[in-house]
Amino acid sequence: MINKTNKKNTAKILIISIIALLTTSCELIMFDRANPSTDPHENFNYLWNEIDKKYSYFEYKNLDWDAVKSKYEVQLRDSMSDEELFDVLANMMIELRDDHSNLIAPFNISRYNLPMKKPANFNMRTIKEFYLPNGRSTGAFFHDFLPGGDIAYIRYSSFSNGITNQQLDHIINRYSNTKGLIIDLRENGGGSINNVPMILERFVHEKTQVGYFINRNGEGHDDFSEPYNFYLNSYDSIRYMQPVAVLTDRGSYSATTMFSLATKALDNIILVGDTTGGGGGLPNGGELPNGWNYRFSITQLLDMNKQNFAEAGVPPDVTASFDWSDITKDEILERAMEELRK
Amino acid sequence: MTPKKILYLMLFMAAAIHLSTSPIQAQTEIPNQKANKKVDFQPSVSASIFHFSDFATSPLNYLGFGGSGAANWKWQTPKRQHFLGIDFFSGMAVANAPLSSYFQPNNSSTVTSFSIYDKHLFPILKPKLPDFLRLHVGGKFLSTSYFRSNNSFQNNGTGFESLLNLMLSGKATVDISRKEAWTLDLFLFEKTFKPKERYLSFGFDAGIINMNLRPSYSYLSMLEFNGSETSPISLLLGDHSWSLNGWRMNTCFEYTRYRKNGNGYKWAYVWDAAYVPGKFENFQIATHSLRYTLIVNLK
Repeated sequence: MINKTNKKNTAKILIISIIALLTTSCELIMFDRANPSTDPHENFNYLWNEIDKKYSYFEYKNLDWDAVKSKYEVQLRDSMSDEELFDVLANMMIELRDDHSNLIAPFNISRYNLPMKKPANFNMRTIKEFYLPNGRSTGAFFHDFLPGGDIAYIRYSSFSNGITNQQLDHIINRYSNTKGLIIDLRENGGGSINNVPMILERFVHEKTQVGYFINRNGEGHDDFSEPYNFYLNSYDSIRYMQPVAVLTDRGSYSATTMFSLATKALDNIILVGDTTGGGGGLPNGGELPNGWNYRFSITQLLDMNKQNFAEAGVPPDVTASFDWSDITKDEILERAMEELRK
Repeated sequence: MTPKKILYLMLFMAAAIHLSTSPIQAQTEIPNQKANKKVDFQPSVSASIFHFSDFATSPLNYLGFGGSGAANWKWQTPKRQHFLGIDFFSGMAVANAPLSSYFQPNNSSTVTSFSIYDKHLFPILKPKLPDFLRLHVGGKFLSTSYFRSNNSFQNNGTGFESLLNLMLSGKATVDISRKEAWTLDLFLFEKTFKPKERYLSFGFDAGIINMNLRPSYSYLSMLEFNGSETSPISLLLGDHSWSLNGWRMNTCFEYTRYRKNGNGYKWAYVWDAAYVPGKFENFQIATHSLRYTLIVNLK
């Protein structure tokens, strides 16, 4: 039975326990403080610092990031609106000349917009009306035999569109007896890098190294990891071993640039058209003190000679351009057919 | 000492603590101890509020709520208490972005965690304490892995941390049982309160060796890319690294009620906080839970 003394002791212990519980349960005094803020200077400095610490192409693009800070910091005002702050931060990011660098607010997304600064080289209407009037759609692929029946055409508009091996088996089986295959990646702005090897490994007969990756790993603008290998394997079932032409233009970006760079190490694939848009760096993602989001490149993609040209775009093996004075004809497609028939 | 060696040392110490209470040793107990041995299965559910920050991707704090389910086992003799358990938690949190009169950002994140622990407590100061009070000290091995998803962070949208903690544990238990029945006379009727076995306890675990697995400098890295055979796990975890730093603490304020057959239930307020510096930028998370546990007497 609990006597009076014990009851007093119990009460004391309870009080001590509750005090201990309250003091130890208050993690806020031990945690680092979060920093939500709408202050333009705090948001500007946070974004500038994140880019300074992690962006991967300062040296390659010969960018003076301190000068960029000086240029835009003077445009800040304590009382500026969200739109005005967005413009300052967005213009600062556009100095990176990189479509993987975006400021994302609930009311707008900033873009460098490289494809709009270069000539357009793709018109889907021309393909559908004058080359593949009865084209077939298999998942994300639009495909058929080109006029003449000896060459096949496959359109893949975005690496964000999911693909399956069953779809690829079906398409490659259908065109297995052709002289050549054209894969049209013009205006393909990228997407999932996992789809790059899924397609390319259909054209590789053995495991092949096609490039390297390096990652920003320190505060110095030229601090990078050792190069990591970029391999393609050979798909173990249905493959296509005849020549392949890949069509590219300035709208071929990111995963499409990765795809295009890899073809440089493969003898049976040529690039036809214009230089790709670039986007060789893998972009990250994060948040500012005011809740807006951002992303920018934090890696580099190198070719087999460890040269970094992917960010500026992978050049074609055969240059061609679309003549907009006659949209009944696709000169880039015609040139690819000519190359495959050689 | 490298983090890898520390990891091996922690696993060795956890194994040593565990083996010290293994059934082989239990067989050597004297008969009356064996008679006092009790084994419980203790499934539990919790409702939690939690908040976290991952300063590698955001300067903001995320606050949310979630729930967990756990399976726990307790082996008890007069000389030791051994707890073993697994816990699965899932919750959703929103960023504490400052209010905007223009467009309000509203990023959110899901958090899932999986924990496993092995805890041993030994009674201390028994002869010097009053009958109603028991004190225990011991150690706990706790491992928790956090998976976080935040679509607005795009390629950094998946966060992963793993924590390994070797902790010093303590528990104070007060016996608040009603030993004898008593009757409350309310004039119109009487209410009889029967004897009940019940306890209040306060326990804590404080990390003494704290290891964590956190992302690389740039958070996301392209490591060796082996075409379509590239493992998604290697892309997610390939450049994570172990660090020996930070702290972790748990406290538990618990009310336990036993029935005559040895079964029972518990209500508890549980606090778990971890501060994880990693190698580059901090992660921190705290969870406050209200937990209900069933006690199923197995032996």
